[in-house]
Amino acid sequence: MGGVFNFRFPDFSYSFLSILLEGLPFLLLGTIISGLLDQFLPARLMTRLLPRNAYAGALVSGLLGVIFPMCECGIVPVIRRLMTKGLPVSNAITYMLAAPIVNPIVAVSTMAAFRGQEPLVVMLLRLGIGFVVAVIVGFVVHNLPLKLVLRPTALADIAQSAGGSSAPSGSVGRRLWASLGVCVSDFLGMTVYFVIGAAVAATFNTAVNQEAIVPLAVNDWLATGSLMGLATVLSLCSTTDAFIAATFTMFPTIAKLGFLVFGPMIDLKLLFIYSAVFRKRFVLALALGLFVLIGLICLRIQVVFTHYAIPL
Amino acid sequence: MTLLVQRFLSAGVLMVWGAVLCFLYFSGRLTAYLHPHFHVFAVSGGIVLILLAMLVLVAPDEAALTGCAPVKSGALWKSLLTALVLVVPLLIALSASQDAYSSTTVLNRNYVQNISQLPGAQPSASVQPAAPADASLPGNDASSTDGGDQPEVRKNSKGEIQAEVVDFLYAAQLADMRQTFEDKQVEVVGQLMPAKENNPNGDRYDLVRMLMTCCAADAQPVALPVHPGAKSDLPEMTWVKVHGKATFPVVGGQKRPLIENATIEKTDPPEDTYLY
Repeated sequence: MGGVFNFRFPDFSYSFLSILLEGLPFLLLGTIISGLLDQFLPARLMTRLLPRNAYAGALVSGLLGVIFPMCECGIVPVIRRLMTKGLPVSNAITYMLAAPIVNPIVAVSTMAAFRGQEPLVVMLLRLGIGFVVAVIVGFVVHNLPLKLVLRPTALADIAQSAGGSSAPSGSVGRRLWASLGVCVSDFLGMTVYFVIGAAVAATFNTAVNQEAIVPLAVNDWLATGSLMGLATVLSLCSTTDAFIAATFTMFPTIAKLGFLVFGPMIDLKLLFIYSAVFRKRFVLALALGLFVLIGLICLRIQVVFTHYAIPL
Repeated sequence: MTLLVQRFLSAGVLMVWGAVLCFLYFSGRLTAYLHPHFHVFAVSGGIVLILLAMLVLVAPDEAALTGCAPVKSGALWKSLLTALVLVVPLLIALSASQDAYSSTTVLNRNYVQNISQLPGAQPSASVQPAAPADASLPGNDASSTDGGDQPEVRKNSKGEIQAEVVDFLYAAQLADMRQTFEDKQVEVVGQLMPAKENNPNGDRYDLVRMLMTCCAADAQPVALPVHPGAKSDLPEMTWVKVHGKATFPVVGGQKRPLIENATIEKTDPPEDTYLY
């Protein structure tokens, strides 16, 4: 005992189960919504509702979480289904990244967790950076060939639905049975990745001695990077992660912001869940790109706030 | 045939997950895993999964349920693999988990010994600070004592104040709350760990409670230093009841709680082992 890595299987099992128990109901909710969307959302409705311009569409998609808040565990099956219903992939990814952050529940929990630590500023920055980053990613994805972004199976689903074969049809009862099939299929498919991600997260959050990261707090660059890395490892829910972030009192606020924005977009379990829909290379590029982009934004904010003597 | 097997596999996996969620909830073990706010989601999820499993079994139309196959290509071995990945780790973890962390993980997580590191925490219901709520805000100066009534406290039969570990961390920063405890005999329950710092003689301990924000994965150990003046024979992480005098010496320019002249006795774990 006392090293950086101290693994104990019962502790791993305990943490692993707690992550599964916390996230699974929300994953299930996401897949139920996914099944209902598949059978009851008219094809192309999303494209008719969203602006035709892809960039304007990404901007609107970044705010959809305000109306349709979803946590990061449940959102992937939903966006996969929305893509087959005509939602452009760039808009779907923007919604996927933004909704777990840009929503009223997260706003309230962040304010509560950071009371006494500039709660309004932290909350506005968190939601603002989350929105901006998600929209930027949407813009980038819009300019990428879909075959670089989506797994062949997801691509085939979209192509199939574009041919009109997945349009809702039949009686309500028959569509309910069909939505059950979609829900179960999505649930089983997504949960495999969730289980693997939870196992990796549980290994790190029980076996790694967290004192090892404390020396990193003294430098803004290292502090921001290390807390974003920690967010990846801990794989917390976006509605409650602020309560953990607020406890890193020795870390600068910008590092906590990095934790709060990066964590809901990329963590160990999400890396695996994303892999159910997106190509592995895209997922890795997305993780790396978000790490750099969010890190640089947070560090830049520190400079601006310091320049104008705004407390942070 | 393949579709039939897949249908049973899907239903079986859903049934196992639903049963595990419901079992943990109805056996009371869920309290060790999730914050009470999440219990309703877990049991609801379990019930829905069991219902889904039954619906998959009785679904009238095989064609309508082709989506039930975990892998649409229909390869049976992939369905079997999926079912194994979903069920085996869950059941192994369920049997291996001891519903609590050992000292290994507790030591891997930094002890919280200053309430400013716990912005989401609240004093226990047994001791409520009389000071305005805002005085508890991290970063605020809580040295003022004017105006507040004495907080209500719970006492044992010996007249000792019964409090939680986290209350002493608050008291270190809240003057009104500190007055309630300072130089008084107190009784606190927690898990015994050797002190990590300033313990050359091995006769100092930390009384540890885990504080859960959301689930056990994010639980943090909150520690109250205890100085009994003699070594204890009890093993690490034993649940103990500590009786002693609450003091608040200045360490590093800050008041820190310390239970002096402590006696340590083994006790049963509290009904709820976590603080929230």
